[in-house]
Parts: sequence; structure tokens; C-alpha cells
Amino acid sequence: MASDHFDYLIIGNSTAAIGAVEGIRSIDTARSVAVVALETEHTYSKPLITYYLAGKVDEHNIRYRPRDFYDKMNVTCRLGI
Amino acid sequence: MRIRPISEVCIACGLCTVWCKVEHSESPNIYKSFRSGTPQTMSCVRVEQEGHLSLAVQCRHCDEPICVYACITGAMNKDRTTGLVTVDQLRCIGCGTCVLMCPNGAVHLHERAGRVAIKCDLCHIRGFPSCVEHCPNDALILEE
Repeated sequence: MASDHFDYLIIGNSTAAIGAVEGIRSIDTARSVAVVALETEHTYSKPLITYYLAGKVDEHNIRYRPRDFYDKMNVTCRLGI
Repeated sequence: MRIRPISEVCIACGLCTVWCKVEHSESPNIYKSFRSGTPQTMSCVRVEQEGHLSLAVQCRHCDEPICVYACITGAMNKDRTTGLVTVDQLRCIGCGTCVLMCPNGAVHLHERAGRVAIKCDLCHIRGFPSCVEHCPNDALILEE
């Protein structure tokens, strides 16, 4: 980890981070991007927490982007650190 | 790719709404489609009319899709390859944020289908928009 080098480092894994990833990849598909976050979960929609607790959405649909989002965006994802 | 309405030749006949509904219903038969399906489908196109001016309004599949940016579930998506803005109705919770944000009023909530967003999909399964094909006055044009 200490020796890794990334051109873009995004701290956090919520909506703004996802927007940053998509924004960067819309103009730059070559350089490396990393996302680091404290939480261990795949990015999920915060407003949907209440829907999840009420049983209106399941664990799959609370995710803000598909499971393979980081792979498709060629992003290194370090969660839970 | 998007549909451009031409108000100068639109006569507000409403056939675009009819064919949109037929295309998105369970039956391809125009007579049966209005009775088939549970719940019955909605038209994704709306005819606006004021005085002598009329035009059909549907999704512009914006380059900067505000509805996609505003969607709290990730159900609304823009395919950067095709340019198509679509909604995944299995993920949509019907919060209505996209309806509020759309500057064209082109997203609607289908109350009878469990309150989910419904919008123009350019008939991508069919291959060519049915409303454009059936407009008798060429008041709808598919443009790149």
C-alpha cells in the first residue's frame, strides 16, 4: 500500500466520490484512480437507508452503482481503511 | 440521438401518444393494448397545446442528464455509448426527484405500476421510435 502510486486519490466512497470517478473517467481514461474509504460497503445510497430499514428495498438495490462499477471504471478501491 | 418535435407542422392529433402506449403495452394490437396489461401502460410522450401552437414533448436524452445526477437510487442511467437515458424500474422507488428535476417535464410517475418513473426509451428494443414512425405529419424527427 505504501508503495502504491495513483494519479487521482479520492477519499470517501459516497455520492460525491462516485461523481468524481465518473467525471474523471469521462475525460481521462488512462491515468490511475484510487478510492479509499473507512466503510467496508460497496457504495450505497444514503437516502435509501430508511427504505432499507422499512424493507422496501433489498441489499442489492440499496447500492448506488452496479457491483462491477469499480472494475468497469478501472478504479482501485480500498475499503475499510 | 433524440426526437425533435416540429411545432410548425404538429396538429396535436395525439397519435404519438397512442403509438407510444401501444409500443410499451403487452399487446402490439392497437385495439387490445388499451385493455391489456395489468396495470395498463402509460404514454411517455405528452402533447402540449396552447392556441395554435402544439408539439409533442418527450425525453431529450440530455448530454447533461440532470435526472440521472439527481436520482437517489442509481436507477436512472445514461449510456455514454448510445446516449440513451433509461430508468431501471426494478431499482426505482418512485421518489419523484427525476420528475422534479427534468427541465422538459419528460419524466412521469406511473402510479398504477407501483409508482415508478416512466420515460421515453426511444423504443430501443424496437429499433426505431414508434411515435416518429407513425406521426402522420412528420412533426417528429429522430436526430443524432
